[in-house]
This record gives sequence, C-alpha cells and structure tokens, in this order.
Amino acid sequence: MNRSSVDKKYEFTISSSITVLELKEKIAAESDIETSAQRLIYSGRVLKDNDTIGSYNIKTGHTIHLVKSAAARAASATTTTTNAQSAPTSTTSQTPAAPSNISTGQGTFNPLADLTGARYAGYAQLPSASMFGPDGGMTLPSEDEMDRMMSNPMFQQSMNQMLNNPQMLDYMIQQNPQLAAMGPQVREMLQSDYFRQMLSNPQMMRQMRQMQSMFGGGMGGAQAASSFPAPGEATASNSTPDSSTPQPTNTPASTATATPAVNPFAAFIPGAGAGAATAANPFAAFGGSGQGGFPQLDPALLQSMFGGAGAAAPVETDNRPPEVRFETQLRQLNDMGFYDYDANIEALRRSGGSVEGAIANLFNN
Amino acid sequence: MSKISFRLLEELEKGEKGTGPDSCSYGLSDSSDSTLTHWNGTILGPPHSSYENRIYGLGIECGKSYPDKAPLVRFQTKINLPFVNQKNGEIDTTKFKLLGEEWKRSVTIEKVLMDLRKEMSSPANKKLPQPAEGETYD
Repeated sequence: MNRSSVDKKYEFTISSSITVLELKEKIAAESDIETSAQRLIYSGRVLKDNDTIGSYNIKTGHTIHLVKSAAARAASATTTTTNAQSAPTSTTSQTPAAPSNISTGQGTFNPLADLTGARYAGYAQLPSASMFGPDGGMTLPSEDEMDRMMSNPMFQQSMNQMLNNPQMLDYMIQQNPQLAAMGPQVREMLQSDYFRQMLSNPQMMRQMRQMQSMFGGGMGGAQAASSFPAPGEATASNSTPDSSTPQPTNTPASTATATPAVNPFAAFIPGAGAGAATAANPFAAFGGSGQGGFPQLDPALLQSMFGGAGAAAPVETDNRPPEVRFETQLRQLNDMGFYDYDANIEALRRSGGSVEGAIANLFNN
Repeated sequence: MSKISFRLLEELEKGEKGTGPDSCSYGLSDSSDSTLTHWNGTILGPPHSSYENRIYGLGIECGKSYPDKAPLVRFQTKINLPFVNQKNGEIDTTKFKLLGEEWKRSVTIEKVLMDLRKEMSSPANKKLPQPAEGETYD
C-alpha cells in the first residue's frame, strides 16, 4: 500500500522468510531505486542481501531505514517501516523516498526549526480564540495577554537563551540588513545585560506600551518611530522606514504580507506577526523617551528587528515534510503514548507545532 | 538474572520502531540477549561532509550500571575523527565528553549517535580525509 505522496512512504506486505534482496526488489518496483543502490538498515545493522527478513527478527511496526548509495544520486535517505500484520510471516514495510529527510533534519543551523521544536513548545502558548477576528485574521493580543506572556518566566528564559546563543545572534543580524549595516556593535548591544533586562522586564515592557498608547494609540510602528528623534541620529537617516518599505504596522492586514526578512522573535510571541508588531512599538516609544541607553539604538531598527515580517517565520519551515518539521514533537508525543502517526501530524499541524496544543487536540478527538 | 532495564527496553522499542531521527539506527546485536547489553548502532554520514552518504557501524555496550554510567561505544567502520582511536575504533571519552564527564542519566543511545554525527559535520571535522569506504577495525 502506497501512502501519501508527500511522505513518499511505501508499504509492502512481505513474508519473514523472504530474503533482504527480495525485499529490495519489491522496493525497487515501487520506487525508482534499483536494488544495487539500496542499503537497508535495521536496528543499527546494515541488512545483508542473502539473509532473510526473519533472521533479523523484524517485527510489527519496526522500521527499516533505506539509504540510497552514492553511486545512484547524491545523498538520499529513506525509511522503511515494517508492519507485520498478524503472524510473523506477514510483514509490511513502507519506504518513504524522501531525499530531503536527512539533509534537512540535522546539520545546517536553522534557528527557526528550533522555534517550532520541542524546546520551545509550550512556551509560546497558542493564541487564544479572541485573537482571531471574524474573518480568521489575527488581531493584536490584548494588554492582559501581553502582560501574562511577558511575565511568564519561561518566556523570559527563552528570550535570554536566545540572546545567549551566538549563532542566533548571527542569524538575526544576517537576516536584517539594518542590523548588519550597524556592524559589530550590534552584537554587543544585543548581548548586553541592559538590553536583555529590557526584554525580560515585564514592568518595563508594560511601561513602554503605556507610553506608546499615550503617544497616539492607533499609530503604526513605523510612524511611531519616525515621530521621535532617534538617540542615534547618525543612523536614523538610513534606517527610518517610510511607507514604501513593507514594515508591518498595527493592522492585521499588513502583518500578513511576508517580507523577506525573518524575525526570529516573532515565533515567541503568540500570534506571530501581530504580536511582534506590538513588541516593536514599545521600543519605538522607548527610543524617544530620552533614556538613551544605547547611542546606536535606533527605534526604527528595533522596530524592524522585532516587527520585520513575523509572518515569514512559519512560512519558512512550511516546505519541509511534516515528519521532519515536527520531528521532536512527534517523538515527544510518541513517548507519551500517542502512537497514531497521522493523528499526531494532524494535531501538530493544527496546533502549529505546540505539543501541548496537539495533546489537547488529540484528546478532543 | 539481573533485573530488566526498563530504560533500555524503552530505547530498544524506539530503535526498532524507528520513531527517532532517520539518520541513525540502533538495536540489539543479538535479539535474544535478555540483558540488553550489546547493541549495534549506525550513523548515516551527514551531507556536505567527507562522511556523506556513508554508513558507519558502531558497537555499543550498556553495562549493568547503565544509564548511571555511560555505555562503551566504539566505531566498527573505519573513520578518521580526532577522538576515535585509529587502531580499534574506540572513542576517547576525554575528548568526546558526552560519554565522559558530561554523561547524564538522561542521555540515550540515540543522543550519543546523533552527537557523534554532529561531530562529523562540525567545521573542524567535516573535511577530514577518510579511509576507503567499508573498511572496518579488527
């Protein structure tokens, strides 16, 4: 039985008395990988062609990994799962010929993968229903919600963790031309205790928000930024956004437009883009409040840093197959006893990668 | 008979079901080994490295005090890594600290394999010249 083409998994019903080579022939018939290019791995061993499936004691639900050898095409790996139906004589195996599985799974640094990963799952709770407008679009999180989030020690901790990670800083700087233009000081600034304190201090954030609403409630971040002289005048000129640059403002509509810049913070804030815009504005206000802690701190820059197309973050990971995207979460769910792969994927999709949300989902169904 | 390690049973189940990452695999060397001591592991060499698309076989021995003590891990497939003894494939745990001073109860066989794989793709190691494919330590 062939499963969804997205997963590129194949299932075969085979007898445990057939040889590995015979299994490979079956796989070759289903995929375009010839038997000589197939390497099957089960339980930490490469299966030998002349051995029988039974000799490896492969049982119901066990997985065989399939690796295409280099001779055929560049590194591609697939997984073969065996599902013995009843007696040990009938074994089903599935072979997802998804070459991206391994190369995307590990290796390259992708902070966004982390953000959807289990490490942060549950930190950023699912946006509450009130955040979705009647048309399904996001509205800004309420003040209360924002407060609650900001005072959550987990949230603060994850912020700190992120700023402590030099790779993450690199990534942020690299993704943001304005930050990159500022040179090495950016890093120092982002890593400084003062900046961090600002981020992790709920009172300060609250204060900033109040200040922001004082200076004209409905104003978008960009406008707010330009209405205050930046403490660092020198950098202000080249980084003050105008209406032509796609900076997200407070309206849900514009946060939905994905600009190429990626904002790693967005994922921390429930309601991605919308929330990020709120986070940005307080800083814009802060810049104008006269407490010029950082000569280089340009509100416009911060605004773009925090508001820069939050919507793009989830989009980035979307092209990966779900079993890769939710790898860690799936494992967690499995550990907790949720074994239905399809249901788990579906639940994770709905919860946007949050394990907690997925569990709630699974229980409700 | 020593008491059954539920921890190892869990790891065994996960290894056989393959619910972990695709790039490594592990299971008992001998499925009738009720002490769950001797394991095999494989690591698929990470892309964009000199290990790319090669399958590395390892022997793993989980002693009686596992997981309080780290398992003994050695490469069976020849590999050139700074912490691997080139005579017998054993891992120098003073250099690969996860199996040495950084060992914790929460570390699993899977974690060990994945961390070894991570070492292969580290900037320092990923371009190291490698022995011909398929050679093994005696």
